[in-house]
Amino acid sequence: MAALPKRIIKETERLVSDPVPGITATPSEENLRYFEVTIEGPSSSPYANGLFKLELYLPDDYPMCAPKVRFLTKIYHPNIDKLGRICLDVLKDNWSPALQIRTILLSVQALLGAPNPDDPLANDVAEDWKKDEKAAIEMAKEWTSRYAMQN
Amino acid sequence: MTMEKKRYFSVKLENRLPDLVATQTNEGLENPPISKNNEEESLFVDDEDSDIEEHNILNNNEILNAETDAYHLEYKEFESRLKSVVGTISSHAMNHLFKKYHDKQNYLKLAVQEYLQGIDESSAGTHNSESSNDENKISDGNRKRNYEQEQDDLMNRLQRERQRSQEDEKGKSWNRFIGSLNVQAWATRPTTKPLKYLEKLELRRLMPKKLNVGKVNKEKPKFGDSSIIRIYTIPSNAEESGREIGRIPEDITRMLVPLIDLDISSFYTTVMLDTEKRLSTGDSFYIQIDCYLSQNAFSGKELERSMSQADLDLNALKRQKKMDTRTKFDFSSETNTEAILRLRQNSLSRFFHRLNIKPIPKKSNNRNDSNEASEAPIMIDSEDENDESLKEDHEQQNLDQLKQIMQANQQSELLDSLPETTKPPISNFKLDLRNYQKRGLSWMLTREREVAALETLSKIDDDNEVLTTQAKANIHEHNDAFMNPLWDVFEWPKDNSIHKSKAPKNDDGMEDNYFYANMYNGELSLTKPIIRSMVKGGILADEMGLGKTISTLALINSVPIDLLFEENKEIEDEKIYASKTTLIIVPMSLLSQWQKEFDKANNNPNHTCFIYYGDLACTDLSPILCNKKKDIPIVIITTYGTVLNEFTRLSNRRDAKGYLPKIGLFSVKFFRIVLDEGHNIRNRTAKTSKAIYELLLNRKWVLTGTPVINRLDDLYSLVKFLELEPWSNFSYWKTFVTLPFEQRKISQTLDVVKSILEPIFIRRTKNMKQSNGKPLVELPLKEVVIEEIRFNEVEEKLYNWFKVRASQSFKEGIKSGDLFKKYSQILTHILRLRQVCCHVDLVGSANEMEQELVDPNTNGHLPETNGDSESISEVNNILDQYHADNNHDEKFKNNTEVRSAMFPLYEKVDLKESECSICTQSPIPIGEMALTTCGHAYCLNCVLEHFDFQEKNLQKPLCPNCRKSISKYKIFKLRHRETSGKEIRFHTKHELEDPSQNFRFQLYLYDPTKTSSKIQCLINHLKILKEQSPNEQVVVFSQFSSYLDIIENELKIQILDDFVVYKFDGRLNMNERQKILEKFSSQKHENKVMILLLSLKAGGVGLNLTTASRAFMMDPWWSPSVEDQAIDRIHRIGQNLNVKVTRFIMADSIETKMLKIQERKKQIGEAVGAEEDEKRKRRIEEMQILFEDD
Repeated sequence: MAALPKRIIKETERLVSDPVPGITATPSEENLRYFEVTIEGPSSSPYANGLFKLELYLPDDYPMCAPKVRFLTKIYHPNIDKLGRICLDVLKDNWSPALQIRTILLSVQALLGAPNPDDPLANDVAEDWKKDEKAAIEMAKEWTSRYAMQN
Repeated sequence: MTMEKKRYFSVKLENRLPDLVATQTNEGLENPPISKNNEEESLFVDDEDSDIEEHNILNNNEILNAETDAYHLEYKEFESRLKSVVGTISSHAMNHLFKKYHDKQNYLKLAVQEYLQGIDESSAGTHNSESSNDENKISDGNRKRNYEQEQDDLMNRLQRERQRSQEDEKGKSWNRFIGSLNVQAWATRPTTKPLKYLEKLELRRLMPKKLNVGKVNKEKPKFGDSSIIRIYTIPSNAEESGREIGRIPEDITRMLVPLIDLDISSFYTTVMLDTEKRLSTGDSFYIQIDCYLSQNAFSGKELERSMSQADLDLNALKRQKKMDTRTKFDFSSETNTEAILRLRQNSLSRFFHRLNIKPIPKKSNNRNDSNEASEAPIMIDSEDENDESLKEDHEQQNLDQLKQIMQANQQSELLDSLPETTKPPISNFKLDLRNYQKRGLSWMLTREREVAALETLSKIDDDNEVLTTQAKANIHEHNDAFMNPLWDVFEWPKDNSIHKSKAPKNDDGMEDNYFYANMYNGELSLTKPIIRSMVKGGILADEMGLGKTISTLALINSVPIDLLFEENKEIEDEKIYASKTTLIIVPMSLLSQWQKEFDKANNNPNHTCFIYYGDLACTDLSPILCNKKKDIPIVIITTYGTVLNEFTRLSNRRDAKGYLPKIGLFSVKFFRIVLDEGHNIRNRTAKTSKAIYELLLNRKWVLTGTPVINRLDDLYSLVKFLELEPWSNFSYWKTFVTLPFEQRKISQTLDVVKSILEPIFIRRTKNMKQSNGKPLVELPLKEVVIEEIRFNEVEEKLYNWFKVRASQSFKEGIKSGDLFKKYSQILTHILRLRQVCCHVDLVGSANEMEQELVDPNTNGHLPETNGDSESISEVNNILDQYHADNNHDEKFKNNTEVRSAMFPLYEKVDLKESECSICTQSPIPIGEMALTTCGHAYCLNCVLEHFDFQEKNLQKPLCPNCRKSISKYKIFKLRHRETSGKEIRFHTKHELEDPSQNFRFQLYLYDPTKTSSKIQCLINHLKILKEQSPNEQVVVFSQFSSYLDIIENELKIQILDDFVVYKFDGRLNMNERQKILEKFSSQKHENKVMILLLSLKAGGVGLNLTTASRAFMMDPWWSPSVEDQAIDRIHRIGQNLNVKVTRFIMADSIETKMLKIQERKKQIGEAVGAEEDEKRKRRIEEMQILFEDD
């Protein structure tokens, strides 16, 4: 296995020493490229008070290519599918090596505050969202309290 | 009898005396009795007195006791000894001499001296020397002696004595057939009747009248000056004397005369052909001369000794003359002796040559010879680095040869017989020794003659004696005794003389089929000439890393004190003898290391080590070291510098006798001295060496991993330090080593050197195997990885272009049926392909040849220059073409565009705060910084990687920071402004103001086609390495020096700040090479990776780069062994880390094919010794591999 680039070490150190408010990212002990991530739902969103678990993996080509990020906690969101996969441009084509774990996670957090049903990943959710946004938001809140508020 | 009959150079008393006598009495004396114990050879001994013989034999067996015996000397023995030297002597004189000298140690010498000079009258009183044979008896009066007269008398007497004893001997002595000469002779006088076949004749040596023995001093005849040999008839009865009938050719005469004169051989002449009639003067006839070596030839004087001691004795005599003007010795006799030696040597060698007697070739006792030879590298480089002259090359080769001998010098039977179980007492020494070190310790103990200690220490338990009696005998047998290298072994030829019966068979010594001859001085011997040395100590020359230090400490801890001295205190300088202390002299840098090693090994609290250095140096060491019961340090460590300093201070305070004042290190006699890195004294005239020679010591050891550094004479100084006689006499060394070596008698010289060293020299290398077949030392793991690299677009285009041309000419060659006609052309193509694999710029670097593949028969004339310029212009065409094809938005169209894009960027550069957003490096080193047109800074490699990644994914490259479109042809790099002042002036002339003047740096357009995939790959590796272990040392190999230049340049431009780059190639001189290696392996740079760029040819062999554990091979070589050898520079003894080597190979290129050829060579072996045809065949096969389609 290729050695850990300095950048990853640096980023990890900074994530620990200078964490982003509402976000934690802890590298796994066995594999420093694998992070356990939690994101707090933005307060003004249906996901407020929820604590969402994610996993983040840095591929070998990182930072040339984007990290792989996935929700582990079930979430009702038009851009996040049942498997936790996220539809976010910076994780795909808009990735730039100048982006970092921290910025990516911030983007994910921002995505929670600003669902975009016009570019859906979970089609059913997106349809719900479009049909009846209020009900959808309620559903999201309910899911949040059901899945993201244990303890 | 187990005693060797000849003992050369053993005890001073023993050899000085006969020398003196030999030189004093000219050639008159025969054989000093103590040199041989063969009864028949004591010429001057009264035959009836058999007691004397016993004395002699006894004496011979107890050489060591000779000195002490002198105290109890019996008159009879005194008489016999004196008689044996000077012949008969009057009883008066004998009485006088006995009284005066019998209790003196060197009684014999003194007595002889006085006798020959005349009895000292003041003490002799009425006693006068007289000789019973002397007709001119001198009366008892006190009249002054006429010394010249006496001299003549003596000579006469000796001459007569000699003749008489020769006659006596004749009956008993034997002759042995050595060969026959068939000679045409001429009649000098008419004969009365025809000569008959098988008629016997006699050769007579005629003495010219003037060679009067009595006037030896005045005439100074040169021996064999007048060469007259005549053929005589053999008289039929005793009364008649033979009649001269003829002579033999002049050259034969010249050859035979000295042999007759020196009584070396005898001749029996027979007529081989009937003559038709009686002979008239001038008629020719044919004779056969059967030649016999006489016993006398083998009982020769100690020629060798007198030779080695010649100048010494001469000086002594001269001094003596000054002191005692009455002495009337003829000093020209010295040259006379030498003349005889020369003559003897000359005629013997001509004689042997003529008889076709050849020495039996010495068998090599170097079992590793064959291995070593096959390991010898074939260093052929495609790059012509012929700056060394041919001569140097030659010398280098010779030296290499010598070094090879050094490789495995120590494989002797003795060493094999030594136990591998010896270890120092655990109470003294707590480290474990490896098996070979134990054996080495055994050897060292043997060298110090500590057989008892060896026996005790090698015991595994009380019941088992490891050291068998046989082994002990072996030790005695081998220790210090070895055949004198100057001698050759000859086999006695079969006796096919005409009159076999003529040679009386003598049982004594005749069973041997061999005899020995020293063709350097013409000495002959029936017994194997053995050299013994009394040296206690030797040279421990194990290869670096085998633990010389530990071995030495083990020795010191095994025998820390001089037990012999403790027991009987018989050493003269008792008061200043530091019998419990070993002095270790080391280079300054190793001082602390030795102390650490000592502490690590020491297990005895009473054993201390004392550093004698700087302030600690004191005036007199004897109170500390001698005559004390306790607290004597067993080891004193000091530096060469300290010894030199003291020596310099003391050397102008010598006393009248030339002794240094007893101060500091020179104030005591050490039990043992060890010179670490002994090659420090390799220059015998250097002051340090001289200082070391003057230290007083008992046992001496030299440690060195490199006994020979530049010249063969490097060894001499070590030999001198060890006082290894006779070689420690420089004139001797010069005669037998230096001069022959200069005369290119290489193998002969090396044989001599080998035998000189054999008894005192031990060297093990890591390549040697233990008895169990395992290597002496296990090396850390070695991992060699092949990394395949893809061409970038431009490289691929170029490569394909060259490839097409290459296979074309190859196919043409095949078609035309004679590949070798096209051979050189094809080779050039192959070279171009390999160069493109490395870097485009290599194409056309001058004078590069595929020597390995050049067929010697085609003379190797390449259309080099044409090919080059053609290739270069072709390369440029291709590059231009390529750039034109890709000329979209990616490139700047012209310089104006470049400038207008570049100049605004100056403002945006922030050297201090810059951060590469790709790798987060901050600040970006100026050499690595790359600016996009949008003004964002990255590390060049990061942004290039980004380009590659995007390209691979067919995406347009965007600036990672601002997502503006970027191009790798629009990247600007930075360099310090001062580095290129000229260009700045040039730029200011343009319409756009060049802002660079306001900045410390300068921007320039980066050209991605100028680098190469390989170099980029290397740089990536280096950067990763730097991250992992910032103090790593790395070796980068390439066979192209010009490639190393390019790499150096690229490294400096791209990543210099984190790295220190050294370059080592054939263009450096010896001094520069050493400096660079020193810097590389000893200087530490905080947080910087050190890189050594090493040319495969210049650095492939010999270097030790074990401080590095990483290597990169930039390009493959035809022969795998050359690459392996290069890798061995870092993977060798002393390497403590696992070694990782990365070999860069361009994928799907000629380099992958080369790997195939390497594989093939590994399987079928390299065609080193193969026939020309075979080599040629292989070359063609290899070509086919190169050009076969995938």
